[in-house]
Amino acid sequence: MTHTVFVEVGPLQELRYSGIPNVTLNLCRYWLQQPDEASRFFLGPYVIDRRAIKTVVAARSGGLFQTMLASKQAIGGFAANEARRCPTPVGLFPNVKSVQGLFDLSFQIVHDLSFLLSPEFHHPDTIAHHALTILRDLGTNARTFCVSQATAQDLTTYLDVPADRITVCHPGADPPPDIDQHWRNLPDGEPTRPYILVPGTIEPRKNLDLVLIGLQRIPQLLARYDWVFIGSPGWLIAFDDRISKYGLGEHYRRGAIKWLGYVDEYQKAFLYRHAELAIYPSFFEGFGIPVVEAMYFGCPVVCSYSSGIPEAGGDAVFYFDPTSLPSFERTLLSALRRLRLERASLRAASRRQASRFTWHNFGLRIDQAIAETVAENSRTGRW
Amino acid sequence: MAGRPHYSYEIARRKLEPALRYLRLELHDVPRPEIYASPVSRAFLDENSCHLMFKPAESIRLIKGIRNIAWVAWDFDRLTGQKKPGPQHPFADMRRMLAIPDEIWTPCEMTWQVFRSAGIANVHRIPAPIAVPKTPTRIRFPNIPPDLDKIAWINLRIGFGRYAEINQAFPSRPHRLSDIILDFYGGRQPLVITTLLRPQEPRKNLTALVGGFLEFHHEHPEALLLIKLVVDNNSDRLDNVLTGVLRSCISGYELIDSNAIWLATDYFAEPVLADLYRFSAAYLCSSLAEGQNPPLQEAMAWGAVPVTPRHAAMQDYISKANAVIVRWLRHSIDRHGTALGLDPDSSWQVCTSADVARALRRLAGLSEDARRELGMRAHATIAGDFSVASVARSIQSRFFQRR
Repeated sequence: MTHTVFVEVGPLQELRYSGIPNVTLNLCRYWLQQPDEASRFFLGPYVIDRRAIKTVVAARSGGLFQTMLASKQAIGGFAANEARRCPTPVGLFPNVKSVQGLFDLSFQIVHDLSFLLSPEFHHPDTIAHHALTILRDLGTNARTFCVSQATAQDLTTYLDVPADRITVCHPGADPPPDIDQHWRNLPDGEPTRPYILVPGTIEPRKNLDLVLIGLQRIPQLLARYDWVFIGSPGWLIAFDDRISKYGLGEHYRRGAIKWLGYVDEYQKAFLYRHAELAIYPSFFEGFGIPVVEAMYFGCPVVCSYSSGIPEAGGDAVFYFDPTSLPSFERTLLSALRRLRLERASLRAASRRQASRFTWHNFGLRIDQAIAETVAENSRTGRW
Repeated sequence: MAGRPHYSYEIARRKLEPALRYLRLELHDVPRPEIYASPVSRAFLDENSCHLMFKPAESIRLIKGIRNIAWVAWDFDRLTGQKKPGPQHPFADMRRMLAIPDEIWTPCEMTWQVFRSAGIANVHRIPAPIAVPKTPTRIRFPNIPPDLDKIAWINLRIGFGRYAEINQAFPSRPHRLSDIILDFYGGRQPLVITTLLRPQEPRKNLTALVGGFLEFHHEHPEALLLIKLVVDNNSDRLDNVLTGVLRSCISGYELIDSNAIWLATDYFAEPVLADLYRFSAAYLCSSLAEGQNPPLQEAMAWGAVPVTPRHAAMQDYISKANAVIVRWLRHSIDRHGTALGLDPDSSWQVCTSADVARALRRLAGLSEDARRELGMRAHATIAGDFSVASVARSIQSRFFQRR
């Protein structure tokens, strides 16, 4: 091996794996499939035992990881010592860099600059945490990975990162490998009433208000479909408050509007598989993984044409402007009409688009870009 | 056009809109320009589209793929975020942010020079235009227009230290303008001096403004100062303004209880504001720094005599020929709460109560004719350089140059 990739696994401590923890999980899964000597896992100053990562990835459990860390079962020595023993140790950070100066080269994934560009959607602590470190982190990256062309453009536009130091790696959307086995244990059956799925953490950037206002304004949407919101409680807003604000309490109480909170990958897959369509009205996304996740199961998607989302949806989704209620209503009603006439072809188009994005390809592209950067630095003697 | 809520920029945007319409440009609101990142999302734009934003530097956001122009006002002689030690928010670096759009428009010559000397190349002076009446006519008591006379004013009664609770013990009672003149000026037309300001802004230098007027009023009891406070009427109610905001902006007094200084926080529709200026002999400004100062220019457009220091943006349109000039001295910035923060390496222009009082005495010493002549020249200055047509021509030349 010419180099060893040290994968930072801090995000795996999150109790629920969506967003960045999910990206980290899939990066770990990729590196676990490579020869052992190609990678190490670390957290802060510690090497994390490979077997521990295997267990956590299989269980998809941040709680388990926390327990293993607390009992020191997961810790396998000091990263600095391990780095000295490995050929050309390079650090791969799935998010903010937790350590500096430990590796010959370091690489970082930047998901989006929402904390800079739309600070009104974030808690001040989050803004401070990311905004005060981003220039330092970018300045010490040998290469920066962006989850979309949109994020890459933001880095070059607002933070002067040279385009040739950025590699765009679209994340995957394929479900966990054991999903089929899981489904085999589920009873067959169609939902008793058609439903529309709205994924997204309960926070203002996800723009769920647009959907709720739409429901308030067009009563037949509630007469014809159930509306299922999935996503963890987030920050700055609460689901129940929004329901009250738009006078939808009665529909919520009788179940025409449901909020299921966080659902795991298996539940999510089930829900997407049977949904009439999914709506993703977010104001700003690095990529829009939920869009591709829905399409993977053939679920047609109505989504905002914002930031990185068009890279995920391609030509296979129905777009609206997330700042415009008329645009949303027009697009949704048109999508529902077309769905009645072209259900099979729309579902097939969704699956085709989603198949372009796999977690394996995401890991592979990062792996290859790291190898190329290491080779290039070796040739030019940059370290 | 884009702009998130930000008081000064919202006003600038509203004022520039007529100039853009004058040029028959098609205008669309774009609330979140940063979200349009791909060809599919930019489909509503064509190659001639131009994104004009009205925001402070840290809030500059582009619509990628088209021409972006940021209209930015700035009052100080340095930019923020320069040579600060330790980690800082990337958008706090003004130079970085000003370099992002294709072009910067700024309303005054001083800011143009500050930006240019900081290395910002494509900067152009485009002020917010001012609506200018053809021939401003004056209003005198008792002919106060009904809408202006509906406005509630309260007198400045504000205590500090042992007098802090004076407003609770003796609350100020709202008066209409005609009641003020009848009750406190014997029904005779006072020498009305007006000002309009956000009291929270330290650069408005409220201590000098109020103190200078009080000193002047002691010798000229015929004078009346009307202060239109620009506050959020939902959270900054008038009594809160008196007991909270103003107390933190005025210093050096134990008690001010004046029947010659009256405050209003009501919303003034444009015609009512115009009537207020027509009713005023002069507009008083004691600012330490200004990026354009549209209220002063509007008062000038309506023929009120400007009593103001001549620094920062005011250098562009204030002269001895059209104003009574308040003396000022350059001083390092020694107060928190400015856009620049406390910065002893930067300066602003300080005038004191004594400077304000001296200028007001000069104003009072002028004959009616001399005052009218100054007012007419003030009107002519604004009509010449800041009218909608004049600013539209500057904008057109920018667009023409581009093509």
